[in-house]
Amino acid sequence: MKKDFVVGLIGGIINGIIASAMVVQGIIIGAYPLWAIEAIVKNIIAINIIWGIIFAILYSKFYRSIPGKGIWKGLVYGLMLYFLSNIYWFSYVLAYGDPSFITALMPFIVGIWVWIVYGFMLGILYEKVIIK
Amino acid sequence: MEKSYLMGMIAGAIAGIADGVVSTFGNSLGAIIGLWPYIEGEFTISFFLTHIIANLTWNILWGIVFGFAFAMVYDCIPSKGIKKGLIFSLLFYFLLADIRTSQILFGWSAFGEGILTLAKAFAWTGFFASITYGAVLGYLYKPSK
Repeated sequence: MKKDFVVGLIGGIINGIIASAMVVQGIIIGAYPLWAIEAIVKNIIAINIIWGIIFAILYSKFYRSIPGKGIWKGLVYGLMLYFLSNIYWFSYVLAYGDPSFITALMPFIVGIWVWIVYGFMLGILYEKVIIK
Repeated sequence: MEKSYLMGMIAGAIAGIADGVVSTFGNSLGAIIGLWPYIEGEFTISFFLTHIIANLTWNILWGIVFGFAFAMVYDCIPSKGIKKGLIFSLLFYFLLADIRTSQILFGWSAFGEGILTLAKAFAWTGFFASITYGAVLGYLYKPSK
């Protein structure tokens, strides 16, 4: 459990940094207003660290059920999370409409990279720290 | 495709129907108790019918997806029967999908009141809907041996 927590913490920090970089990119290309920087500090980094820990603990609990082997398990897991989380709420926006479509579109497009990197990092860390 | 996955998808679709009905009433209840403002014409029959059809469609589709996921992780979930379904649903449907969505939307609530309402709706309605979904899924799903 302690190791899961450490792996999750590292994965969560990485997740937070990538997600923040994506929002900064969004600000640069004009998709987000400048005040979104505040959201990065208040929301994205902190919350992604927390989610990173939760998802890492879930990963260890459901490790046996995830398809693939070794590091690839992490990637599959990351893509599963992308599907059940980002695609889930993007589909809601598509189905029901949203006052600000761009807020949903950005995590849909850039979110996949966040989850791929998170999944890979989790897979590597899990194999090196937990399994060994 | 393995039979147990197919069973999970079928059970998930049926649980999605229950989920869709509860979501519709949950949304209206949220407006009644003042969690978010009324939508114009919220309590008319045409609004209700449109709403329930949309909710049923969306929840059946996601019910199939989560039913498939349930069949995948079935052996790793503690307990059995309805309890198993509830644990899965609260963990994956409510925590991963609904609460995470709600949290992301709260983060962007400065974009407008509509986003804040959505964030509240995912947390409020999602809780009751996921309990219903999990109970029905757990009751209906029987893994093939």
